[in-house]
Parts: sequence; structure tokens; C-alpha cells
Amino acid sequence: MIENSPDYARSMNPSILGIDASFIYQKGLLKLGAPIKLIDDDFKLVSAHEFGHSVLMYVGGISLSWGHKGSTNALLQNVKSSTPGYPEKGKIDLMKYYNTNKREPDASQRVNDSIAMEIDIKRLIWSSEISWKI
Amino acid sequence: MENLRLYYKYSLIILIPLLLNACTNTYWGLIENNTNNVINVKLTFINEYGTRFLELKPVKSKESGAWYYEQSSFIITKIDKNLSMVEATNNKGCTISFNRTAIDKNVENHRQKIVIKTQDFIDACGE
Repeated sequence: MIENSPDYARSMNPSILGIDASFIYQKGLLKLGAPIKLIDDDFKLVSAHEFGHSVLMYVGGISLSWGHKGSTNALLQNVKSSTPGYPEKGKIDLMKYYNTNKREPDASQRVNDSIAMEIDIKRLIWSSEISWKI
Repeated sequence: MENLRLYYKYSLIILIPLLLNACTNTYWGLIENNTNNVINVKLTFINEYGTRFLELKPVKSKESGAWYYEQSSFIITKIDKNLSMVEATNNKGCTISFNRTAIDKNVENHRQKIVIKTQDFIDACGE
């Protein structure tokens, strides 16, 4: 989907009741003068995150997926008080939320440093139900 | 009937967080460099967690630097409520700063974008 207004529209993947995931391209940010690279990178990052929800939901259900691996309250989706801000440096967990009141990231940090953590890659492999023949 | 009950139950589970989630918005704060030189930008944020600084990567002429933030949609201002100071330095070492009042004035016409112009440096340091 394409959002043509400058207001940021949230992508989502509730993975429940057959509701389709929606990945939103924030084209409207161009009207504010946002660089096209920022919009493209944001779309890639958010899409990867939303795809990850399917994996988390499959292996851990609502608490793991909607709860963003313990960083948010599952139902309210708000960041927990114990959730840290974005780190000064180092890797960022693609599937967790961070508290931007504690530390905001610059534009490139989220894109450059976000990764699917090893545990989530293992979850993806496990959920594919590959049969290993040894 | 049982299926209908389950449908309503799960619909509520979905709708409540979606509605509440709508109360938190995501934003990209932008610093547009409308000068003819590269500028370095330092942002200062103040809130209940303390004071923090964020140095953006050098912003080329006619390009924009950005940072990411979230805040409640109940907050009217689109620009980061925690942003208290913007400092920009050009290649001649001239530094200009915008306090919160100046930030609010700067973004009046363009929401969450702060535009830095050549005239700002001339006003601060002369030609």
C-alpha cells in the first residue's frame, strides 16, 4: 500500500483471523522533503519487521509477536517502562521496540544496525518444518 | 453460535490495541540544509530521562538529515516534543542555534521539518 499523505501510516501484521498484513510505503513523506532513500530504507526495514511477526506468532503466539519479544505490552502495544532506548552503537533487534524517549536513533542507525537475531533466524528455520536427513 | 462468540472475542482483542495504537504516532524529524555548504547538526533532547545529544551525519547542500521518534497523537506539535535545541555548524566554523521557541517558529509552515538557510549563518556570523 502507498500512503500519499505526509502522515506516517503504520504497517501491521496481526497474524490473526485471516487479516492480511499491510506493508505501507510512505510516499507522502516526499512532500515534507524527506530523502527518497530514507523512505525506501524505512519501507524495507518495516517490511522485514512485519514479516518477522509471522514467524514470532507461529512459534510463540500473541505474547511473543504482539509483545515484540517482551519490549511492549502485547495488547496496548506501548513500550514497557523497562524497555531501553536505542543503543549508542551495536546491533538493534529487528523485532523489538525501543523507547525513543530514552534515546532517539538517527536516520541511518535503524537501517544499518537492525538485524534478525540468531534466535529468530532459528525460529524461522524451525517453523519451516524442514526435514533433515542425516 | 460458538463460532460467532469466538469471532467477537477475537475482534475485540484486535480492535482494542489497534485503536489504542492509533494514539502513538511515528515521525521522521527532518533538518533541511538550504545553504550551499555541508553543515554539521547536533540535536539536544530533554525529557524526564535527562539530556541527550544526537549528532547527525553531515548534511550536504540541499539535502536533509533525519531522526526517528514516536509520540502520542494527543500532542499537537508534530516536531519532537523532546527536541530543545538544534545547533548547526558550517564549514567556516560558524555555529547557529535554535532554541525551542525558534524551533517552533521554524516548523510553523512545514510540520516536522526544520529549514536552515544561508541567511541564518549570515545573521549569526556575518558574511
